Amino acid sequence: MKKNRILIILLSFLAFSNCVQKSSKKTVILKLNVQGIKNIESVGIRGNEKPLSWDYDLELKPIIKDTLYTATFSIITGYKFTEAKFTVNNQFELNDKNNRRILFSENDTTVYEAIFNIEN
Amino acid sequence: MIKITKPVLLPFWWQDLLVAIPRIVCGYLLTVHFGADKFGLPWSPADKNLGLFEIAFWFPGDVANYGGIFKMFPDFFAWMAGFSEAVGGIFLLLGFQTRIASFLILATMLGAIFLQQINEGMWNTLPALGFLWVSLYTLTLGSGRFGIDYLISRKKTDEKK
Repeated sequence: MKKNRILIILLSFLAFSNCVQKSSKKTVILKLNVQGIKNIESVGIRGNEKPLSWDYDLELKPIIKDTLYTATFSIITGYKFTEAKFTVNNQFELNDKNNRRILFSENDTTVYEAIFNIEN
Repeated sequence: MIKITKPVLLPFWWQDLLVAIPRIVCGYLLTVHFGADKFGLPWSPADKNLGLFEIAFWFPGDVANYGGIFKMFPDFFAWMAGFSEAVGGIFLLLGFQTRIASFLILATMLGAIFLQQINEGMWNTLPALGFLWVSLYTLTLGSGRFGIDYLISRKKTDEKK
């Protein structure tokens, strides 16, 4: 009886241990408005999850120079969001404020539009 | 089983109360903060998107990086670590099966300290060390007077009489 109980507990642990949160690939298309900022040399985004990092920029390319920038990246995640901040000339936006939360859409692709240094 | 459950009682009740405080605080922190962030419980943050008893998607990958047997069974070890913190934390808080919960937490904290945090510097090991010290004495003493184990063991002892 005691052996059976131990066996059941062990089997339950083994069964439960397959419970890993499902993750999927989420593609994010960023569109950042930087109108009004002068002497722009680089525009980027930094964040929590690869390919984003808090140590270096993922570069945004100009659609309209000094006005509108864009980048596309993909994340494999189980979360509904990722956290990030934009940079211009390696200077972070939203100083002393919370990170942006980019909420993923139910579809694979999320379009995130933002204005530099203004919270959505 | 009663041997594992029965707590060691200190000479005075207030001594049991004093040693119950870190046990309860650590149990609360483990289950509400550290554990619930990566192991699905009803109070896990909604935006973590975790189902009940699910381990966070990123954790088995971290565990696999430890190498050896962890690389062979990353899902199992990740799940056990999450379970030990999240569910072991509730047990520690309530003083229910305190020694079993303490053993699970102790093993998890040893892993967290020597396989993960120590690579980031000694300061990073402090939270896990704190939980390790508490689990060491709760493994030895059990729940004391202020836990469910005390009530269970007292009832079983009364039944035997």
